[in-house]
Amino acid sequence: MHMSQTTAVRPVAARRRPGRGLYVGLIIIGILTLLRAFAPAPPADSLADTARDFVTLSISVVIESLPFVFLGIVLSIGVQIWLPEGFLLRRLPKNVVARRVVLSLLGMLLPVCECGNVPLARGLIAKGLTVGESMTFLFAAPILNPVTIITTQQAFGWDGGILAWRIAGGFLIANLIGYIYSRHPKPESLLTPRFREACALGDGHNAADGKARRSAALFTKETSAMLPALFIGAGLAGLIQTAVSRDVLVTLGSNPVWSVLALMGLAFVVSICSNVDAFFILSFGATFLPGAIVAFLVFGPMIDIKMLALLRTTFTAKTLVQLTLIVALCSAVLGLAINYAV
Amino acid sequence: MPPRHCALFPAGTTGSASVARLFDQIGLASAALLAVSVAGLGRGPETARYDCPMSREPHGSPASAAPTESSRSARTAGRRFTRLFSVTIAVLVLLVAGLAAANFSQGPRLASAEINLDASVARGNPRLLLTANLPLAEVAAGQVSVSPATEVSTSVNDRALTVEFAGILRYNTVYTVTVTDVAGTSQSATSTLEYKFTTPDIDIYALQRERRLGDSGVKLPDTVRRTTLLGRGDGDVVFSAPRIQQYVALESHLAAVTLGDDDAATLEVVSFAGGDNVQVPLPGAGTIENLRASPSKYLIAYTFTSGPDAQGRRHDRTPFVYDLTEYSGLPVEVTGVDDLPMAVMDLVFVPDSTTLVVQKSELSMFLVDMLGDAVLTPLGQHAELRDFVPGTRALVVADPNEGATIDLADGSVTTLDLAPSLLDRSAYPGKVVLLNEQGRYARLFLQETTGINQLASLIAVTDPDDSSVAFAPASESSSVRDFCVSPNGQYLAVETIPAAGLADEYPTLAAFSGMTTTLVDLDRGTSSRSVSGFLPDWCG
Repeated sequence: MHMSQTTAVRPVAARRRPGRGLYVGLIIIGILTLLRAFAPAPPADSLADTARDFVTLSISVVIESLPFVFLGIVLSIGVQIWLPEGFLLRRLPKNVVARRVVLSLLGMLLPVCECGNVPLARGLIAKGLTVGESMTFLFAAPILNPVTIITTQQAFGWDGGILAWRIAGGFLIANLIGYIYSRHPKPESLLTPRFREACALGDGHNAADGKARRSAALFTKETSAMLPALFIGAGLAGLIQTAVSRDVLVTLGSNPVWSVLALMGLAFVVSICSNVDAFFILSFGATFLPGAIVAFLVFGPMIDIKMLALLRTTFTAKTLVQLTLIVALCSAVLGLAINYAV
Repeated sequence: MPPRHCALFPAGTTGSASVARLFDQIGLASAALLAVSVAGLGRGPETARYDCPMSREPHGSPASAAPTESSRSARTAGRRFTRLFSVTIAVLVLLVAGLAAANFSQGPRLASAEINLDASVARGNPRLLLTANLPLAEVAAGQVSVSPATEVSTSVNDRALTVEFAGILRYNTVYTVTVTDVAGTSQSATSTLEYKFTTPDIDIYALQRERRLGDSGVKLPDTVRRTTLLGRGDGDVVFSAPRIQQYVALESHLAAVTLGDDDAATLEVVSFAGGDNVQVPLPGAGTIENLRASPSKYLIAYTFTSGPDAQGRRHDRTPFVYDLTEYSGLPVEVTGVDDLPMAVMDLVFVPDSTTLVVQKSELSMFLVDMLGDAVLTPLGQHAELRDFVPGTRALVVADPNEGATIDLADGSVTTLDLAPSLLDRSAYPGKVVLLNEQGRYARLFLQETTGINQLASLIAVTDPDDSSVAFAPASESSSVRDFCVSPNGQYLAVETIPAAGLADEYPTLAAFSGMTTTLVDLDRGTSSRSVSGFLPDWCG
């Protein structure tokens, strides 16, 4: 009976043109490009300052994130379709602790920021990674990757231990989360029904289809899942940044406790990619305490508005609340401990 | 070929209802598996999985088996997760609360401290920058104490507390700066900031002129030796030549005037890093006088007088400045108004600058910046150009009736009103060196003594409240040739001629054999060290 249901559904899926959405999207982009090219230039003061800030900040998040999202999707496609079955997973250690450690360091091989890690993690889940393990990868990779490490080192050097604390903090928090969620009795309940369904249906195409065709289909699917989330997250980040005065954050920066919370709040709001966030926060280095800087650099890559929007494509709201709570508390502990001891 | 799908989802399961049902079944089974694994392994390593994540269903075991036991195990596993999550959150919340309380109760801490130690013993009003981990509230001067006692002023800017010392610091001294009851701007908890630093030793140079003959019957070369306050002996030879008239020491070089057999002067520059000596081009054969240096600016200045047989233009105490960093390697003549050549009586560099104070033959004085616009700034007419008060830019000048200081920072002139010395009435006064701007001075006196047929040399230090003899040669028959004060005003360097000293008959800066230079600690009133030779670089 199951078989008959499958065959009843599959042809429907097969009849859908996998690249149609992509073509439509490309056509729309082309039309918009033509319109922009031939439309008269808007007057300079066509937008109010606040609105202009909102547009600029939102677009900056999108522009900054988009290459990494696409890179993540491409890597995800590579993992799901082009790598031999179980190629990555078979090479992971059997011991779960060692396995999580290795997954924490997977970002060294797949250096994308947190935006790109979401589609990649979705691909890894679909290929058999447990939810807890995927979370370990998801939260460690944005920090434990060569691009982030180099930019942090360039921004802060070796002095003050900012880089070391960031790496250690990211590693520990990611493994703690992986451990906790490895104990979840129903890990599937952590995922959104839509993603569960997507996982259940595989890539939605017959394995007999060519890899290129399946890749295109998967690219379409992931793009349609990720981009709306990215746009919504970027819009929210832009909105809050224009609504909340940055002076408030700076005022709080001189207090060892409030500075940590303020920069975590800033990290949540600005939603800046882990690859460049060190240079962003460097300008606050003279105002804020080292613990606050570390909390920013650890919390931001794991949890921010844009990231939550992206993660919502995969995890339930309850799960995201739990994850946010753990990451926020861990980051706060780390920041406060540094402010107290250093 | 069968369709691809996740291993845990049975083929043919479609639709959200089916998925949900399936999940329920899988969830029960996986919870049971988890419970068993947790119980059985005793918190040992979890089972690694290579299939889809939601899978907790043991392969080959029906999901519907033992539903009652499974649901019980699932509930147990669920409770365990909830407990684990809750405990984790609780521990983290407690840590956050504890650390927040600890941070709130902690006053500012010293994050870093910065002071230019070399400059602290060379230039006036050195600054110690204490950087706290938090922005600081205002700090009153009464909150700061320094050991050894030193007058300081403070200012706060954000996290930085600047402690400015009055005057120059002592050599080889451990300073402890303590700031009590320091509060941050954001919280009321206070703390004490303390910082210790040790000021550096200082090089001492001295010129040793030789009268002795070597094995070949030729006079041994004169030498310039370098040692330190803490060093022992006369130190190492940094320059030697058959006849050395005088020298000046810079930070990395030494410039020396050497004399030929015909008494013609040569100006040589030697690098402490090694390499060949550089001979500064001179206008011809002649004599060099008034050799001065601005050590930190790599400048030397001197006056040149042509010899009797010189061809072409004749120089009469013409001032020149030589820049050791100048690519051309040529000295520059210092000219007067309308670029006319001039003859000068004396010249001296303003400390730590490229500006030269020149006193012309007719006693008029002016300032000229050798690397600036070369505009002459008149300083009036004075009989004598002395030196600067240690650690300041106050130039001491003297006239027949009175002395004065000219503050080059604002041009103000202050007449010197020096307190009487205890030897004023019993000895003949000689050279005066002003030690600080508050009127403390050292003066050489020559006093008649019984038993020897010459005047005894004494140096008295006097301030408005006190006057005492700071130095007297070990033997009354020895005499003081000259003395000067160290750049930080801590020591007097006193050149002593032994009774048996023989004149070396050098045409300029003649001296005697067997001369020694004694360093007198002005605060302690003790002679701390002697080195062979004369003309210490402090007197250059």
